[in-house]
Amino acid sequence: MTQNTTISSVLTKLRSTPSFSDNIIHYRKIEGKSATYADFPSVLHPSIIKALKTKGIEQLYSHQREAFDSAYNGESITAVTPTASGKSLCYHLPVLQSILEDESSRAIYLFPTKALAQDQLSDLHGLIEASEETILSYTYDGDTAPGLRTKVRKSGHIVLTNPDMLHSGILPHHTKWVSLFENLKYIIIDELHTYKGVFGSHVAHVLRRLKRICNYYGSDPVFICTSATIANPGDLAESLTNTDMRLIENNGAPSGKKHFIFYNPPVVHPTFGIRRSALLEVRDIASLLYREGMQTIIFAKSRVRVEMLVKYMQELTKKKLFDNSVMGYRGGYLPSERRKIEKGLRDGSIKTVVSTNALELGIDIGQLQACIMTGYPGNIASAFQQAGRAGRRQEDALIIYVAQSVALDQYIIENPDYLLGQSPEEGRIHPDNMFILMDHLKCASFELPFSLTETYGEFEVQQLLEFLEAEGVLIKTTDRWHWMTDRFPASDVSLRSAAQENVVIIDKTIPKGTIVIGEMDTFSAMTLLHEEAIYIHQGTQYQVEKLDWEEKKAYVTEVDVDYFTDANLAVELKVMNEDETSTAKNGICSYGDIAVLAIPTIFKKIRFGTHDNIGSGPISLPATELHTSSTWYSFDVPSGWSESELTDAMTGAAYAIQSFIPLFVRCDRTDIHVVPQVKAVHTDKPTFFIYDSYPGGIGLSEKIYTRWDSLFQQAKDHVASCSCKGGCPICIGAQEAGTGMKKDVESLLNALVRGERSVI
Amino acid sequence: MSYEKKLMEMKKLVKKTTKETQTPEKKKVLPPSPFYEDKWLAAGLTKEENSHGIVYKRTISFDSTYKHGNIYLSDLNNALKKWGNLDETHPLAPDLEKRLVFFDTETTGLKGTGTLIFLLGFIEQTKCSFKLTQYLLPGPDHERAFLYASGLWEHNLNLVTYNGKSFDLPQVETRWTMNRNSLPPLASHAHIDLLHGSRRIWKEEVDSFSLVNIEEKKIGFFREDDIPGHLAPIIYQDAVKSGRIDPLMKVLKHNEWDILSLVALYIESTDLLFETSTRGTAVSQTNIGKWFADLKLYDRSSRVLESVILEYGLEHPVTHFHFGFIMKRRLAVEEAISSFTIAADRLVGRQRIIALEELAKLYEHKVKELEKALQYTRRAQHLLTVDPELTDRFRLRQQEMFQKREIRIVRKLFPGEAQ
Repeated sequence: MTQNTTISSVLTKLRSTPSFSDNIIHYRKIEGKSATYADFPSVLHPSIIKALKTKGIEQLYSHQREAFDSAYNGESITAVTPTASGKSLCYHLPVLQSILEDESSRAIYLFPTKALAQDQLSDLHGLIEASEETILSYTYDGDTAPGLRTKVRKSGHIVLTNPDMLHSGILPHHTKWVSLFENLKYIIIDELHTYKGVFGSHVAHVLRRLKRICNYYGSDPVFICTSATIANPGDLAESLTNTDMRLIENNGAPSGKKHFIFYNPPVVHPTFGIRRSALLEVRDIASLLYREGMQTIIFAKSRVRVEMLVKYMQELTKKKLFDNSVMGYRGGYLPSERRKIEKGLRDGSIKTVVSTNALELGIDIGQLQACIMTGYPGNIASAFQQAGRAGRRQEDALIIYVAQSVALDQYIIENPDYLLGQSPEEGRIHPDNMFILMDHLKCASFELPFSLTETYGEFEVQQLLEFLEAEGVLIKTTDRWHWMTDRFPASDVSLRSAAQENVVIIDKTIPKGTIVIGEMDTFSAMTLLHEEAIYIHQGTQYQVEKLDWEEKKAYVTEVDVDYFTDANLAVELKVMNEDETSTAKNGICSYGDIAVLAIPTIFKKIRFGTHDNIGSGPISLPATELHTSSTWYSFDVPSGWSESELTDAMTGAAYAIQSFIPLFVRCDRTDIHVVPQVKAVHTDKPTFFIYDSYPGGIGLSEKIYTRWDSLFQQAKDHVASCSCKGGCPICIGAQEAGTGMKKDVESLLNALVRGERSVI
Repeated sequence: MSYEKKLMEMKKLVKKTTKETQTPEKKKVLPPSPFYEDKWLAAGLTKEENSHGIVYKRTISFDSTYKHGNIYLSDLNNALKKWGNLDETHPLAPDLEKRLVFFDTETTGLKGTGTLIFLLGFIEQTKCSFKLTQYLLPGPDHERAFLYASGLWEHNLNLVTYNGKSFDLPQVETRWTMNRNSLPPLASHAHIDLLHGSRRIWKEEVDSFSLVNIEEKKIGFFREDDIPGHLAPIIYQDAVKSGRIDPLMKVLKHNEWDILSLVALYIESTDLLFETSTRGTAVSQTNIGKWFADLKLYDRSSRVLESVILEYGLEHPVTHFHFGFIMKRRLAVEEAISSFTIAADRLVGRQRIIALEELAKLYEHKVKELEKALQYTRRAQHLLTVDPELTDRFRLRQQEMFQKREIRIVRKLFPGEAQ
């Protein structure tokens, strides 16, 4: 009960201190709910019942029971399981039951990352130990010792692995796994919601290949998927696995009361509608919670922001020696460092953790008391996951949403029901993306030759196989397509576009004691690890001395400066192929494939605290090319507009459009880009381009292609309803051209919506 | 870019299936001969038919006087006789119950189920000659007949390979699993890997253990007009696409040389192990002595090392180093001390430190001369700080151990004194 009293005292403090209370725009309370239980199934093996009772479980939650009954009857299922609802029992129970009924049974557990697999292994071991049965479970990934591998292949009942390992380490060597594939009863897909976008499409193919191999060895495994709350868990699971699913949505787990606070930083510059930095507000609120002794997780959107917050927060502890009660957590930390932080969170020695969305995933850190979101994470599912980190069973939880000045964040402050009442986004994948399909068709051909009548997943592939023959990869015989090159296709295909090659970050502060402190994907490295960049790691600043782009190594030394760096990326577009074109109200819209050339140009030095620009410098790195799908809208120059006026108006309009696309097609802000060009090479006219951020595209721009008119309409309404005078970061972004631009943007959007060519 | 363009064209062709059903596999008909069959047969291959289809074959007979490099194939008989007289087990010892077959494969890639074996080569001794049999895969659809013809399912053989443990044999197993529904199961073969043997015998003496290097340095065989092994996959792929046979015949020749070298290498290794070769060196004989010791064949080890010491005296102190351990095991303290003293005086690096450690141990526990023990300990401690040839890991571990030893000895020497 102490927790609930702490929360109410914190609530009182926040409400009674004017510097906080003035900014609390809404307060909502969401009541908890009590548990729905079900008895153990009558067929459940006595050893499992014993194990559950040892763990203090006398009854199942209703969804666990439903999962068991369906899976036991051979039905593939998808269970929607919020944080801390006992999701792992949904799959452990049927799997253990199958092995206890037939010793030869096998199961594969798939987790999106190595770390999660290792985490779940200890959970599973605990359960098996308590059952006092001999069931062998192993993780199989890059870390598995060579000596152990044969044992895992031959006698592991349960193999915990990740899609990447399945793709390049297991499927292409399936003859070494005969006993697994012949007896495979279950395939478990945990954290289903993470398999979206390009990564999800790749995994969908890995699973099609897995099913093809199972079919070859005569097994027909049941899928059990567990997912966080998303709009379409059943559909996503079905398109991911190409298997019919039964959806289990009635969660029987209890939940505590949740207190939601919507907090908007105060306006410091009324004319331009500029608000105080959300980061500074978060620092102040988090400091209050820290002093009150509440274990808190802070979510920030970028790695840089995480590090800045850690730096701010560590001010609180700097007088204490060896105090690690405030820590950062993000991608790029070494696994050992992460494990240490996770442990510190579970045992309570860490009071405040600042994280990127890296901690949204099911990594076990226990439940915290409070959660602060720095801005809207870009989609509802993420927001639910972040909020779900707070709230131990049946106990109260405090969730504070701190808005930034961007349009979407401000929209949510105005309309809290968007966050609280709305159903979360869809997880969407596109297994029919040609690039991805062809990559995996090669891998599948390598694994087992296709027959001349065979299909692959839901695809008719004979013509594609013919294409691969023409490319010299396959040769056709009387009944089959045989792989005929010395390449190993799985090593040419990476499931995660960013993971292909990482830049290693090497600290050479002590010349004889250089150590690797982290790593970063190449795309981010262009703007974060260029020479002279300030790289922040666990609150410590480093300056990049040398970036060896060929070898993918960044050498850094520790520095103590009062600024951070921020880099610009120049983008060039080239239309490769126009698939479709149609006429809209006042222009022409098209859909097709484009090449995007990204070149980092300059970086700026920005002072901490005031966020002043105090200097800049050039970046010399080679361009990166991306082939993706795009939709573009071109129109005639409305009469009476000069080119420079139009450029500014289009920039403002693009900003407004970009802010609303996540609401419009339900995707993450970073999944899609809007680029205005006043005279595009391809159309020779003013043109807006919208393209997917991933190689080959993920179908987002295709959805927008048919909806340009209503996109313009919504953008126009949004700009018009903004309370600022001449344009602000909420509606059309920061303006260099001075005030008055808002009117131009509005009239441009008006022209596009209504077909009025001159309104000035 | 062109690949991407083409893919964009293909986009229009992708259709989705409406039905989930996969057409059931039809009853197998034997695949027809490839279009290039005449050409390949004209190049000197013969065609063999079995119940699974066709396979191409090349056989050559080498009579007993045939010499490969410096070595007569007929000396294999002597080698086998020596092994026959050995009572102990040894990784190179043949299983005399099984037929001894020298074996090498060529494949279309390095790993994975999409890599095919396209050439299986065997050499086996017959009554008065050696017979090479090479089976060549006529095309990827003829794998079953090809594997069946090899007879690897029929008899339990004793296969001799070079790096077969991690390459050829797993490949054979993979191909067999891929065809397990139509082929009889693979027989269980005994296996001798000459790469392992060569590494043990010529460690520190040979810079590379590629078969070609061993051939040149150790059996005096030099290849002329050979194709490098790594081109074999590309040549075969080209052959089945275009029908060109000439480069492929060179791959067969390459494979033939590989297997002949296996025979020669086996004879030479055996001779060295049984001290009957004139080509042994202090290094190789010492390696062999060490190998026997690791196999717990201490008498043999001692004999080999002793003969090296007899021949080379103090010239090759490493031999004394290993001999010291044999003597220590036999509780011959004096001999052990003298061997380790030679090693400690004449070696550098890791072995010098270990020799000093052994001396310190022997003086502390056996001879009970603590001053001497302390003296060797201190010398080792000094060397641990100045010898540049040591790895950091070794340095740290040993420093820690010697420190404990020093404290213990000092305590024994001056009991009761405050340390």
